[in-house]
Amino acid sequence: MKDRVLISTALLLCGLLVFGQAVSYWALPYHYEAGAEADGDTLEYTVSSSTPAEYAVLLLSDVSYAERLYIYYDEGYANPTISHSSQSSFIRQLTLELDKRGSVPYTLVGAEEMGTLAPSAGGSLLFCSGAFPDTLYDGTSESGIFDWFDAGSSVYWIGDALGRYVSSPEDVAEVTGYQTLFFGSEGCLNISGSWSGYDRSSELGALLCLKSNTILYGLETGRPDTQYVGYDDGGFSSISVTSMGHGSCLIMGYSLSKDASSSLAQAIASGVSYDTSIVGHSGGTVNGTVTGSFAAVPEGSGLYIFIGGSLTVYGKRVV
Amino acid sequence: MDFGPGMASSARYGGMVAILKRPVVIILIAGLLIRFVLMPVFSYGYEVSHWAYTIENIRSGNGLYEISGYYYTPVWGYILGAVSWIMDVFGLDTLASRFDEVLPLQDAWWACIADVTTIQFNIIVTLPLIFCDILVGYLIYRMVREDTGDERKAAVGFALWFLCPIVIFASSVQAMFDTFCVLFMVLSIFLLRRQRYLLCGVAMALAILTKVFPGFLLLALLAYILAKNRGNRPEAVRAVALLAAGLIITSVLVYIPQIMDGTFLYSFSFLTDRMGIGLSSSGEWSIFSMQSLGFMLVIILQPIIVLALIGLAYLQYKESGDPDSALMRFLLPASAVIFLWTPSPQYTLIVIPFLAYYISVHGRAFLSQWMLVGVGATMYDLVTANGTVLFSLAAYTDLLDLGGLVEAILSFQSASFLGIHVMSILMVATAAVMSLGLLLIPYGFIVRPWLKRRAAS
Repeated sequence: MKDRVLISTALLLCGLLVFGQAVSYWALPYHYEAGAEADGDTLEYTVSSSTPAEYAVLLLSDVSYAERLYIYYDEGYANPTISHSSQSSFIRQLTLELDKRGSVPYTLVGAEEMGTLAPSAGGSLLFCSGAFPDTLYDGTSESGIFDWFDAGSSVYWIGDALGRYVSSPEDVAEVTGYQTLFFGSEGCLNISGSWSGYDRSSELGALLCLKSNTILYGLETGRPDTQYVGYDDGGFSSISVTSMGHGSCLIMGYSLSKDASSSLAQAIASGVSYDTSIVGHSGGTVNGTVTGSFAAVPEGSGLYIFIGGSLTVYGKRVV
Repeated sequence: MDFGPGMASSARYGGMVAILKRPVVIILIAGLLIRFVLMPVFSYGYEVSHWAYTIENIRSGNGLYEISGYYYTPVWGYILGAVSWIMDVFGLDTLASRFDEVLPLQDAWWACIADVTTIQFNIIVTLPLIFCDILVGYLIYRMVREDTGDERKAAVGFALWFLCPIVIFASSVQAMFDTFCVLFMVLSIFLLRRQRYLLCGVAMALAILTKVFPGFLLLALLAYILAKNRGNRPEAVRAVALLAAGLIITSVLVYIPQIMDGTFLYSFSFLTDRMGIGLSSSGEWSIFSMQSLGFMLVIILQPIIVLALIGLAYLQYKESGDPDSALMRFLLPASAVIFLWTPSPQYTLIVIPFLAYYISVHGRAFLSQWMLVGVGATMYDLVTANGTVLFSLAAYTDLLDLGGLVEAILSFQSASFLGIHVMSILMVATAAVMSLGLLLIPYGFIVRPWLKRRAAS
C-alpha cells in the first residue's frame, strides 16, 4: 500500500467523522410523527418513523393532561437534601425528555410566583426540591397546595417525603404529622425502608416503559384511588398516582437519575392518573408508516403513542 | 510466451496461496476469527448500553450532550452517529430493552445496567473498532518494515498489537473506543515521520479529542521536530506552526456544534465527574466532592508525570542519532509514564503500539512488560465485568437464563475470603499485574540502563 492510499484511508476516517457530525447535529435525518382520527366510535391512528424503530400505542381511559406545567425552582430558597445544582440538572433533563414527547408546555417558577399563581384544573405543579416553599405550604390543611388539589390539578412530586419539609429563604423546617395531613394516617410513605423495588407494579407501567425503581419516599401500595405504575417492594411503590381533593398527586421515589427523568416525562406526557386504565394497546416495528385502529372507544379516552421502546426517541398524545 | 488460461489460473492460485501463507495474513485471519467468535457471545453491557443511549439522543435530535448518556469528547459520539446510520441500513429496530431481572444487580453495582443491548447492536457497534484494530496493526507493520526492512519483524509488530489480549477484549467485547484514539495517535506519528506536519496535527487533534491521553505525547512530537530540524530554526518554526494549525483547526471543527449549542463544557464530564467537579445546568462549576483517594492520587501525580515527560522529551532531543529512531524509542516510556496511577484497563491500549514496535525492532527486552500489561489489563477488565459480559446472550437467546446469571453474579460478588470480597481481591491482583507491567517500562528504559552503567563504571 502506498502512502497516498494510507492518507486516503485517513481522509476516509475524517469523512466518517464529518458524516457522523452531520447525522448528529446538522442533517437530522430522523423524523417521527404520530396522529389519529376519530370515525364514529372508531379511532384510527398513524405512526411514522424515518428509521426502523419499536413503537407502542396506548389507548387509556380517565387520563389527566396538563395544559401548563409549572416547575418549581428557586435558588433563593433553602433545601433539605437536594442541592440547587442537582435540581437544575434534573429539571434540564426532565424538560428535554418532555420536549421529546411534545405537547406539554412548561414554565419554571420561583417561590414568590408560585404563591401568586391561581389554582386551576389545567395547571399542574412539579416539585423536585424535596420541600414545598413557604409561599405554598405552611404545614397545615389551610396551605395553598391543597387549593391546587381542590381545583382538580395534578401535582408531580419527586425528591423527599411529600409534605415533610417547608422551605424558606433562610432554612428548612420539618412538619410534624405531614403524612396524616396528606394521606390521613402515618406510615404511608417509605421513610426508612428498602431503597429499590424489583417487581413491576402494573401492566400499565410496563407498557409505558417507566423505569424508575427507587421506592425510598414512595407511597404505600394498596391504597384506594391509586395507580401504581413503577416497581414495588415491601409494600411501597416507586411511582404512584393517588387521588387528592379533586385532583391527583404523582409521587416518585427519591432518585434524580436518567431513569427518573424519562419516567416522569413519560408519565406526564401520557396523562396517567389515579384511575387510568388500559382500554387497548398495540405495538411493533415501524419503518415508514403504520396504521391501526381501535373500535368502540369510550368517550374521554386518551391515545398516547411513543417510539423507541425503553429508549424512547419520540412521544405524542394524539387524542 | 503464452502459457494459456489454465496456467494463468494456476499462477493466480499460486499467488493467492503465497499471500495467504504470509505471516501477517495468517495473523490477520487468526485475529479476526478470535474477534468474530467473541463479538456475538460476549458484550460489556455497561459500556455498550451507553452507546445505545447516545444513539437514542442523536435520534431524538438532542445531539451528544443535551440529554445525559454520553460523557466523552465528541469524536466517538460522531462515529456513533455514523453507526446509527449503518444500523438503519441493516434495518436494526431495537438497540436495547429493559430486563427487570437485572435490576437487583443494577442497584448493587455501578457497572451494571438493566437496559440490555441486543446482540445485533453489539456486533454493529464493534465492527468499526475491529476495522480500527486492523489499521493500527497495519501502521505498526509499515513502520517496523520501513525501519528494519524485515518482513518477519514487521509481522511480529503486527501480531503484538493485533493479537494482544487487551486489544482484542477492548474492541470486540468491551466495545470501548480507545482503539480509535490509538489509530489517530499512531497515524499522527506515521505522518510526522513523513514531515506532513499539518496532517499530523489533524490526526493528533482527533486522537486527543477521542481520549485525552495522547495529549501527553505532544512533547515527544515537539522534541522530534526540533531534533529533525536541528540548526534550521525557520523550518522548525514552520513545522511547529503547521502542527499547531492542524491541532487548532481540527479541534474547532470538531467542537463547532458544542460551541454553538453551549454544551462544550459537558464534553469533559468524563474527567470532571471523576475528579469530583460538577457543572450545573446554569454553567457554574463547583467542587462537590473528591470522589476517592484514587482520583486524588491521579491529580497529585500529574506534576510528576509532566516533569517525567519533559525529561524524556529532553533526552530524546539530545540523542545524537536518527530522530525517527529516537522518537519511536522514547514514545514507549512516555506513553507508560502517563499511567503512574492505575488506569482503567482499556487506557493501556495507547502503550501497546509502542511496545509492539519496540519489541519487534529492538528485541525482546520488553516482552515481559507486554505480557503483564496485555494479560493483566484483560483479566482486570474481565473481573470488573465478570458475568455481565453474558447479559446479551442470556437476554436474547435461550442459551442462558438471565435470572440465574444475575444470581450467580450476585453470589460471586458477595463471596469473601478472610473477610475481604473475592472480587475485590481479584481486581486488586489483576490491576497490580497491569500496573507492574506499566511501571516496568520506564524502569527498563531508564532506571535499569542507568544502574548498569553505574555498576560498569
